[in-house]
Amino acid sequence: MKKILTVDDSASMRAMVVFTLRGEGYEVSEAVNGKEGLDLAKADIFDLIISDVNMPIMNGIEFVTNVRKEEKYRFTPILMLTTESGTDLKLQGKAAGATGWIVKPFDPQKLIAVVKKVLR
Amino acid sequence: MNMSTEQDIAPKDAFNDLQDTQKAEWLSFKLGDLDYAVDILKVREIRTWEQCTRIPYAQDYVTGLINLRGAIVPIVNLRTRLGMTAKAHDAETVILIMDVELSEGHKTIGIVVDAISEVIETDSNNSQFHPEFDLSIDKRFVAGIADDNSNMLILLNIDTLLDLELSQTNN
Amino acid sequence: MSDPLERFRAVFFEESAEAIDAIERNLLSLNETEADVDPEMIDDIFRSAHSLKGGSATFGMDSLTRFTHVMETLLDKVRANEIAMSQELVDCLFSSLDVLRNLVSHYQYADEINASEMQVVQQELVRLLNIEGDIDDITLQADIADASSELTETGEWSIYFGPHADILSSGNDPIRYLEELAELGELNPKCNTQNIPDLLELDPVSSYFTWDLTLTPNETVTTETFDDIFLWIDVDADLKYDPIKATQDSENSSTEIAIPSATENRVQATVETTSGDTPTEVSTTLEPQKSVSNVAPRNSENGKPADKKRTSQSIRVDLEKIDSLINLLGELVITQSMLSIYGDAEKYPQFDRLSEGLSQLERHTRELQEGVMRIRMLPIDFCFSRFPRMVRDVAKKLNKSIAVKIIGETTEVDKTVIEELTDPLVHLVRNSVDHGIEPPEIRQEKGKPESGTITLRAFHQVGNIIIEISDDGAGLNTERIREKAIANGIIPPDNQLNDQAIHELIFAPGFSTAQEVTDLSGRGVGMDVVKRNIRALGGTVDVRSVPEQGSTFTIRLPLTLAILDGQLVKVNQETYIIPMLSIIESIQTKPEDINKVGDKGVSFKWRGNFIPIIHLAETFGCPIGEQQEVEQDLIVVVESDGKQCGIVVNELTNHQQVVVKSLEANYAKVEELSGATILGDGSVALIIDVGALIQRVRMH
Repeated sequence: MKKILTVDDSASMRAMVVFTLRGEGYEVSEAVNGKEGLDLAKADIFDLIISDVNMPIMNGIEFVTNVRKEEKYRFTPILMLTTESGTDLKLQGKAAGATGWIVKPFDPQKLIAVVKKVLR
Repeated sequence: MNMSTEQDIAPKDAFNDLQDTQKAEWLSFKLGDLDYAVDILKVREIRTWEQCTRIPYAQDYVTGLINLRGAIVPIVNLRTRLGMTAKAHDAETVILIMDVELSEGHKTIGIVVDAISEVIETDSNNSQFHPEFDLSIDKRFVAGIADDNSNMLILLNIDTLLDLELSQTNN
Repeated sequence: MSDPLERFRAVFFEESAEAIDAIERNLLSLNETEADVDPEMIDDIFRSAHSLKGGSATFGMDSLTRFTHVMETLLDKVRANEIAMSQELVDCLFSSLDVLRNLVSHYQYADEINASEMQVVQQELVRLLNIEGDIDDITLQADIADASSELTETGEWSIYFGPHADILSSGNDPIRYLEELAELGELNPKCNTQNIPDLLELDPVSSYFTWDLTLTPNETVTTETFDDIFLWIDVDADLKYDPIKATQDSENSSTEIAIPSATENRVQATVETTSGDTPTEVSTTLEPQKSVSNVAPRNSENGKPADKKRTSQSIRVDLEKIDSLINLLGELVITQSMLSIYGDAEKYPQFDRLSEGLSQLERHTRELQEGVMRIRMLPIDFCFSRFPRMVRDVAKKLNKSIAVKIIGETTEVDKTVIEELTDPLVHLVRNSVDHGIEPPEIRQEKGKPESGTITLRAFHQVGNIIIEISDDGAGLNTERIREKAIANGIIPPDNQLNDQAIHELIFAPGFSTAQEVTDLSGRGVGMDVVKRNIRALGGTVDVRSVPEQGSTFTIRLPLTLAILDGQLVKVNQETYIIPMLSIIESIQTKPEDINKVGDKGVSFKWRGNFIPIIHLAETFGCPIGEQQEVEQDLIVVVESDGKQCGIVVNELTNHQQVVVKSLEANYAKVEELSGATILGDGSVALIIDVGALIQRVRMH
């Protein structure tokens, strides 16, 4: 079973991601900010990481930069949840090492499609 | 398998079904101080709170309509439906999109809950029906009571709960 | 549908409906020109019967095969001039149609076979054939129904994909993109390896490959398709995609369907690696989607040019496909209106090029929308064509002679409208046959031609379709209607209504009485139901009648039910949509025009008359916003059924086309609302049912 880490400060957004992906048979772990996410990522090994951008304590860009530095996550797909597909944010995310992004708001179906695509 | 789909069965039968049933999965959520759960097979998706369009002449528990990928879907405030006071939405508020079988056929309806908790597996060991238990909600809406680590969980019969004259006649 | 035969069965049913209609059409025209029989028509009828036989044999619908075989044999003799065309024969063929319809619906919907009727008609056919027996001895030719093989228009693309060396460290795997391309169709990759450095210099986590690919897509693809696929890595890879000019010779492409073989269809992407721990995959074999496998069998035997011609002129499309296209277009309209705020050149002077593009986008979107809506349009003939037969049958039973004249049968209207329109039209036409056209002897006395005429006419008029059903009969009997209306308590005995007002009473609920309902105009349905059905479609019906010259019913309907021209209005904080069709004008009222009871306006003076006012905010209970100001209210004057009223709103906003969605699908019918739609910002707005609203205000 593929393992996915979702990092988001919004409980409802997390709930949606978790429910949707568990429904597809993935094992999903949750973290409420980048710091917690990084700790979890280090403690375990995930096949995919989905992270929000704006979060307290450690934001998504910092989180992705840090995760990417970890040897075991050098090639792991990391998706960012962004509210806009602004070019700046896109380049920032890319620079940090993100694989791609999902623009919010999004449908559960779209999330499933993207996750399946990167994990297949 | 699915004890809550038949909307015309009496609660007693629902309990019997529950005992016959090997296992079922329920999605639990919070409403006020209590924990409730709905049959997970009926949950199509979970969405974050979003603004609804109010419907004239609607019952007070019908919050409004949302656009679900081009389909018009009504949203029911479960607190108001169960006679509790409404509460402003916050970061935890979630809309569960449910696939329900009502007397007039299959419908997709959203319900607003305070926060979702977890997925509970029930079987005859940890769930039963207490007709004498005062839940302060209509017994027809209850499929059973489950014990989740000594925490009481009210299993809702969502088809019955949502099977209602949704629109009020105006006068 | 997994069973391929099942797919073709569905096609066969569609075809058989067409074939039966074609036989009927030809029979009707035979009927009119009995003297000289056009051999081409006989040929046509024969062909239709023949293809029914072939198709039904293929699908094992034996009863249908046997019956059509008899029909075919008879028609063949008529074709060869061995049997002469006669009224008897035409009547028998008409009866055969009913049997055919019954048999087809038996196989399609498991309806029961009307065996006695089939036997009677079959015996009659045999009698006319003058032969005995051996009708069961059928040599079945495996004519496979010409299941209009769908040719997918595909253009090849040449693609260059050159991921940068560091692509893997962003978590992006080039193979995944190749897989995604392979899903679009047949992919022929060529991997360029010239960039691979010497083993000593090779960095195992860098990507050195580039690909030149040729894609033969299963469905039409555009540059956007590729932009979408490569969206995440457009800065991490060199990309180039160009359509390849078609080189296939066109003669071949019309009959040949490429069925990709399993081996051709594999994409072999082999990556040689130097050490085992590199993250690159060693070898991948991809299987593209197997959606091409359900290709129709080729049909070489059926070489009748006439058949070919017909199939090439139209294609059958599942309505669901069109509806999903319409939904998508709805989304496109939403996106377009989202973008349109940036088209304000004053606000965003830096985007002046953008505003040009946006206005083009808007125009194209609108044209696209109109084009797609046109796909749903069918000629009204689909509905009209049944009437000659129906009138012929009914008139025969009543011993009347009636001709049906059809004008404007090519006028197009939305398929749903046609479906909903059929019942009311049947009722109106039967009404004319029963009560309008007089028996021949009476017509003679009046000096009219013995044969009466019912005219069905359709034409377009500013976004509407107008359908007229007129007869040259006696006209409505004003006095009898008046008496009956008084007797039924619809109007008081001392009424002063003029003739036109009396005529309109036939639409009043409770006007039709049992006495009125013959078994033919039947089913106990009154004109009030006709009116209600047409109103439900957003249309109107009225009647004009001249004594001894006849009466005309006029139906006015919107061209489509799926899209509505709407005026967005703000009521407190909420947005509602009023159909443009029902709006007469919008006016800023002066206080002295408003007639108040207490401090609430109840009516106002408009064009010399007082018309009622509806305060929408109050009626719909719209919550009052924070900084709500009692600004000058606008009144939108609306009309339905010739009655006006003024709707008070705060503000008129956009005027736009909206896609109408049902409230009943997941909710319930709401009085005074006809549906909902999705606005540019993705929110839901409700559409006002003006007729119901006016009715409400008149009841109060």
